[in-house]
Amino acid sequence: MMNGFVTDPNAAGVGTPRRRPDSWAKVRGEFEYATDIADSGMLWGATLRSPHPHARILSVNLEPAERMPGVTSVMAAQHVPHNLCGMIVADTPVLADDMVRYVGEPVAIVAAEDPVLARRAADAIEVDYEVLPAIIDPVVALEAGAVYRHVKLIHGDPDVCGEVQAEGEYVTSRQDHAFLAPDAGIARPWGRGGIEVIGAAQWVHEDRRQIAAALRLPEEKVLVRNSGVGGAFGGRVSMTWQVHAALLALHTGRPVKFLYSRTETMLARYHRHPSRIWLRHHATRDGRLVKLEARILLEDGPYAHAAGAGIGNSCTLIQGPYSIPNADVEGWSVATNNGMCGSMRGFGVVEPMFACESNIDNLARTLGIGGVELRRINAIQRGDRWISNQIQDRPTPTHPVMDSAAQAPLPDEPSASRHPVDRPGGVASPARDEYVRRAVGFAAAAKNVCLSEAAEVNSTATVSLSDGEAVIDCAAAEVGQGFVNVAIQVAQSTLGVTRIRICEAATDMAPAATTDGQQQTMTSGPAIDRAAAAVKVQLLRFYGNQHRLDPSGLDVELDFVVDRSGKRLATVSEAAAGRVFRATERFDQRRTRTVDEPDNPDPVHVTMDFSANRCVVDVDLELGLVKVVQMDVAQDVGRVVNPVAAHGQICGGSLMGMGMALMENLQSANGHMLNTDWSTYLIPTSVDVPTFRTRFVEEPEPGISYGVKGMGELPHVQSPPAVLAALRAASGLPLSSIPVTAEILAGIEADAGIEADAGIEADEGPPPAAWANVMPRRG
Amino acid sequence: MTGILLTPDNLTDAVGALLRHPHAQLVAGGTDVVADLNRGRPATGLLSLRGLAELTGIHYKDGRWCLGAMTTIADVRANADLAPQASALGQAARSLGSRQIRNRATVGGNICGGGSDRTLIPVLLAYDATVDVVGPEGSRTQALSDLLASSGASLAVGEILTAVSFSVASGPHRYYRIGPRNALCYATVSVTLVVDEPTRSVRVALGGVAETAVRAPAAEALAGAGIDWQRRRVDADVAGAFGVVAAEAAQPVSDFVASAQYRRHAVEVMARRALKHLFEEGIGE
Amino acid sequence: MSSGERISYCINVNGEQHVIEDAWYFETLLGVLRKHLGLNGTKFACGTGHCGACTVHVDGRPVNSCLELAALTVGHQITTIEGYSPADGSLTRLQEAIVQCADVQCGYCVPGLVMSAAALIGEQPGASAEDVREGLCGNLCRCTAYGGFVEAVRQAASHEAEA
Repeated sequence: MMNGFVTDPNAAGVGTPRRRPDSWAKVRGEFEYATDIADSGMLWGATLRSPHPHARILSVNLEPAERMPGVTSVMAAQHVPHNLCGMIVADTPVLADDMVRYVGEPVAIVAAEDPVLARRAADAIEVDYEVLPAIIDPVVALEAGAVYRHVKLIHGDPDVCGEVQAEGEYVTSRQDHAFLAPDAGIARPWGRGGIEVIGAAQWVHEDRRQIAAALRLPEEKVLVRNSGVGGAFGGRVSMTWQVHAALLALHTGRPVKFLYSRTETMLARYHRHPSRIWLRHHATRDGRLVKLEARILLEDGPYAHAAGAGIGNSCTLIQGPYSIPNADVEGWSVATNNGMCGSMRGFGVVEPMFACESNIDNLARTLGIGGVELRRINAIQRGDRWISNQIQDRPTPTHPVMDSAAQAPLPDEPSASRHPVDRPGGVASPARDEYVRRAVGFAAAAKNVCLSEAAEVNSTATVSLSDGEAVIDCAAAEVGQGFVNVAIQVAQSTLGVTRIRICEAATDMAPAATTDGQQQTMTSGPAIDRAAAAVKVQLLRFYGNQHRLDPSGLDVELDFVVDRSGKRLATVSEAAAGRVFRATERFDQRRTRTVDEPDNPDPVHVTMDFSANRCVVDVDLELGLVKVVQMDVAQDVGRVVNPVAAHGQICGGSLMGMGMALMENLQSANGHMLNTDWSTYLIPTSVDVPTFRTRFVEEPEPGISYGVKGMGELPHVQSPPAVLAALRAASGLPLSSIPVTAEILAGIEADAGIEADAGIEADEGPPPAAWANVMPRRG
Repeated sequence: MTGILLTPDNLTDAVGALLRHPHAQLVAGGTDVVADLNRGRPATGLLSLRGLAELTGIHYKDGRWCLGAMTTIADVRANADLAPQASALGQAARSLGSRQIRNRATVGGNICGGGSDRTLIPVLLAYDATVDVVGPEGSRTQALSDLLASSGASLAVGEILTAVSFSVASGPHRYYRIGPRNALCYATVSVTLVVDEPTRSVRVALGGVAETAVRAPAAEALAGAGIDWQRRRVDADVAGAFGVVAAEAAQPVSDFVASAQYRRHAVEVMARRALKHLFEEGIGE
Repeated sequence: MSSGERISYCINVNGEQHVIEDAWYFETLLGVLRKHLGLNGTKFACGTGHCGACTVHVDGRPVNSCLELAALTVGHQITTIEGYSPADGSLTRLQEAIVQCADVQCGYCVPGLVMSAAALIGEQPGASAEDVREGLCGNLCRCTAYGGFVEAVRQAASHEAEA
């Protein structure tokens, strides 16, 4: 299943399969995560959460909890100095005040000597609610004007028409990050009146900003440290336990730890936006795209969080990796009471790429042109303009990734002695070979790299060299993706020293970019490179000075100072003669602008990456059972820093996308989530996983150290449409919504009435007027 | 609220303890009960069956298998003779949960547990299994089907299921299940087919299509009459009709996993295939 | 028999007897290992037996410790990742294969996967990749798509068969 990559503990530098510095500890169970942190004398926190999707809080009586054994502190909204937080828009209450707006919204918190006592106390708090009607349908939200952001994007001539048109409406579900480590963390009193907060973070400085603001503390009194993180995928951005723990710790004077259950982790946090997207492609008869019309509706929760960024991404990436001269695109991010929504791997792009790729195949069928060929004809090239009016001014290997994936050899046909584990449906499945059909699908994708739309993206890093070992201080959050290894490998290549370690991210360092938007390697990487380069200059100048040598004739290689011919002159440690060398450097990504300023010459997105996925499935159509056999993925990665890690990102992201295509749906009825633990929210197991073959297309990114580029989100963007394309090829069904459950693939029409009895929101037929009203008139 | 953990080491004590603590939950393997505790269900006392040697063991005597209620699913799989003979049971055991779960989940817990995964019940129904129950009134042996019909496999306070027994018919068996992913999930629908060649009789049980698992007597009769016993073959028409009639025995409900229509459709397809390929090289262990 | 919500008992973990005092009677083995004994290698992830991050051996068999009532493990041998890993800080052959073949990412699933795989190798020496995938279906990973882990376990199983 692997491409044959193995890690090498002795490898050093960019482009090598260096073994991660933490894999030894992880395989022995010695690596510490937020869930593992424990202080002596610590208290345990518990949270009381709203049982209603929308209600007025009439009264909160904390007294029953306060008098329970082992309880040291009970708090509600009135105890929060500044009761709002949020990354882009600060409209999220730390503790609900007069209203609750989603099931799971925090209302009160308790600190007690033991987690069971804390839970019992939280459950004893009496809250009187007046239940109110909830908005659960995003189209109703649109109608009611509950809109966070409306984006309108016109490009070229919006009235032009193509000889051939194809349209479709596509729906995606609410997906949970489902990282393995539940939400957890600890807050400790720190210094005089300050607080230290340790847990899983993606951006420690932003967490600090929000925590300090909520507590009305100066930021210098708040220290945020990133713990070991058990997976993030975009899901560790919002404040859940952080301010709660800080409040209780400051009040009690003791450390307070929170450890959420899986259900609480699912309810308390945000999820990927459910979406409804209509689009229409116009093309010439020989397959040239002429115009794109699209209407994009992203469901967000009752608080803005990052709503604006998601819909901005959607409207600009709905065009896919294609050059389209004219466009009429509108998008809305709307507020419902179904729970918070926000960033998840492929933020705001997974949904439109699914719609785009599905409809491109629709267009291909209408034209009678093959799907791969149609994509090649229209693939965006360097120098083309995006519909946002941004010029594609960076390497654009769209053809190489498409060709590489499309031309990959197909897997062998299944043998008669196929292992039961590979049967669609698993080991006890009735899917005998005679009922199984194999089919192939293809999808291409593009994603923005780095945060966009005028977000300031930069990192600062410090490298110090002492006694032959270098230490990197960089506040970039390691969340499992392997940044710690990338950082070391970059510093090894630049500095020429192999003994390098990196410190855990904390706010007592200069800020770094958030681990988000595929941006960490290409933002903190250059900062580390520059700092390492500066340290090398310092070292060689010092040595040259000491030994009357011209520093420009010296270099550092594999822990030795060497001359031009490579002859070793001294070890780095000897050469430094006890001196410590240190440099701090900052790297800024280029400036970007919002979507709403098309005449501004700055780009909307820093850069883009491209990929393609050729997916093979075996299906038992009668029962709708699926086994994804193989995915061949080619991805434009700039420059591979670590091939094992890069392969792992492509496989992991693609599998997550496969989960979204086949089985991941956090369902709700009337604002109440139905499947809130892992017995019923399903992610792919080792039985479900296909074979992965990955290919890296390396066209170095200009202006970035070593030409590196981001890569972590794009795999999740290309895989749902690739799986669906294969399922459509197998079944001939339109399959316009995901996940595709067995009964959808088997073509069974469920009776809406029965679904209503089961408490499920059934498809109600044509959507209400508000959605129809936003459609362009027929061209 | 106080609670207690009871760990009797013999059946009589266990029954007495249950009577004294009617709110205590029976814990067999723990895969259902402890999961519910972890979900936040308050504990109201727990009585562990682990110490009861009377509930362990797999025995074969006079053509009948007898499984102690505390037999784990892993024990079922590991027994060198049981799974090959009772191949539907073996296949069901293989498909249940994961290795970790199978090392703890028990036959008795799977029958009485009340959790979603009651994988074994349709298989045991198809084997015409009987259950032994011990309680304050004494002990009794009862057809599993009776127990399901009268109480849905919930026992009266103080009663403990101690063993399951069945004979294994001589003939091919099939167990099929499907679910929302290819492993580690509750079965959406299952179909068990057990054929007794010497008596030319067929037993069919369906899971996931009613409150409890059900037999499909009309389908059984159709199959018994329609199979070509002499030549060990099944006509496509017979298999097709069998599927349709088996589906009629299903009274499924819709839930967020699957609709009633799909469950009924799945029964038809799975039953048809099970019969059609009955005498062919199986998909089996 | 025990009575009252808080109970005390003695369990055998990694070859040593440990007195557990004043634990909740319904406390799980996972909770006791982590909270009372500070053995954090065994991870909490789902609480319903669907992810295997909490896998330990009881009498040599892999079980989900989140579903084990700790008080019922009295008299049995419990082995955690701390007991499985060599005391001198080195790695077993299986662990070495994992760090070599797998892209260990967040690593949260890994201790449970090691315990599950260690038992699998003992029960199925010579297991094929497909056997390994079936055998590890109770261990979920969200980061890596399993590929390197499966290969590592297959290699270790193959070596076990030759031994």
